[in-house]
Amino acid sequence: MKNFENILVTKNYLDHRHIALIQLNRPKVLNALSTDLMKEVVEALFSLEDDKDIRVIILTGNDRAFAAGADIGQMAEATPIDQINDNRFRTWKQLPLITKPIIAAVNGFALGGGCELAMSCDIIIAGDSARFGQPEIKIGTIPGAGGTQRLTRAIGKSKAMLAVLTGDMMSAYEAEKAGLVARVVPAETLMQETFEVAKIISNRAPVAVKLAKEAVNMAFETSLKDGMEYERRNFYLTFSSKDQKEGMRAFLEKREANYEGH
Amino acid sequence: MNNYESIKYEVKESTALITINRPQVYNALNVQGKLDIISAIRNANKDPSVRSIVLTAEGKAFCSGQDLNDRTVDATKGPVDIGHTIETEWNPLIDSIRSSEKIVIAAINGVCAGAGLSVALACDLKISAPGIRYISGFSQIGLAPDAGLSFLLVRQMGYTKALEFGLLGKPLLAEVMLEYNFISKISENPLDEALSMAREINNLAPLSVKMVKKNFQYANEKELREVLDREKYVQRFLGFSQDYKEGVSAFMEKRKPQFKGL
Repeated sequence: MKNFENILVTKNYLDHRHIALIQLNRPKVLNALSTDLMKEVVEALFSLEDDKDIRVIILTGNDRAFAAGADIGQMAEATPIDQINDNRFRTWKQLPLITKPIIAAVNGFALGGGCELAMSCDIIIAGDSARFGQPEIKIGTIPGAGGTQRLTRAIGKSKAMLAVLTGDMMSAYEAEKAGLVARVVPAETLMQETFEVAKIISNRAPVAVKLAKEAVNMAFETSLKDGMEYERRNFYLTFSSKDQKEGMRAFLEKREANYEGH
Repeated sequence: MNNYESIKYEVKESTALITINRPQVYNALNVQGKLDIISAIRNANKDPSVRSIVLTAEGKAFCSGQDLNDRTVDATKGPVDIGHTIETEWNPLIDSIRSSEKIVIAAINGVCAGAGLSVALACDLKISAPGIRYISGFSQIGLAPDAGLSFLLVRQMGYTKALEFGLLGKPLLAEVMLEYNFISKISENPLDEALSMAREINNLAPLSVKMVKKNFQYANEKELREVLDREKYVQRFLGFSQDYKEGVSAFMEKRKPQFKGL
């Protein structure tokens, strides 16, 4: 993989051939999400998407911040036309194109764009010192990369309104209670415990994992009836994979399944 | 680093000693007093030569709580927002003790009253001089216990006894506080005793100390299932530490371990 300026990419994370780590690496600015950083994240994701060995991707920041928002310095004096021409959200629009599961491992601040980036991932695991929030309202604007939409879907209207209209932060435990976060672990253990979850998912049948991810995401896009229909098609589709045969055989033979991804 | 107005701060043999130094007002805390303690605890946590913290006070009192002469709480001249004082001063002070990664030992040399009692009880270990009076006092001026006191009293005494203590303003003596397990022990010289306990802690593995503190706080507030999970995360983390390796080697070789905090 090429050398990036704003992120660090590790394949074979903790010697596991199916797991890759993307670490946001602008520590001096609490990983502010500049246009360049987001371009690199997307480029790395697409490269890992194409890598047949990789089954699960972990996205993380550092101890102090997952990412503390967009690069305000980059846009304080921008006009709407600057924003249109900059088209910086085009990188964000590509995130849903990744079919492999992405786990956000969040320690410290996940604010504004940082919260939106975490929510763009499939699972959020948080260290107990993590803080989530959409503070845009405090500087006279509103979320622009999905904050009002994804947060509302994750935690419901009333809690989302409170967060978006006050700009106040949520603790990791509040976020877990509200349903934004899947699991809270001691901050020091975040990477290890995220790795444990990634390991479990990487041992599941990769095609089924992709079809399941797609089906869960469809829940936000369709009526229940259409979503159920979609799910059923994907369910049927798994039966065309060797891994489904292997999985069910292994279950009946009371042994561990060995999935190959087709 | 030692520019404190309201406290004295010194580091002796890996122990940071914080001494509240406003004896003329029975160590009541104004804004500066609280900010000084918070900042001292932060500095002690950042200082790699410090392994534990002792909090004590100059003069006859340990801490008599809010300095009522402080403009922000003086209700004789008009309404005041004490909620703001709690949010920006007392709660951060309690949080700084609770979230200190290094153990905070209170050497209670004299009376604790009001939020001063909250501060004393928020410490991890407490050594009291004999006959010291512990007073809630909030209801006597028309307020309710704050800075975590309601939580601590009810947990420790049960609802009925806690309510009696919280409402009627009758002091509890150190000997009774010991029976309720509010304090660790009574000593004629609480500071010496606290420093000696600190020396014992300083010889332990720092990661272990910090995780035991966190786990026990967690255990006090959560359900068994959650505690079991957390213990698993923490033990996996500690099991990978160099100090665990050193601890086991030293045990096998029948020598004293040399822990490095790694």
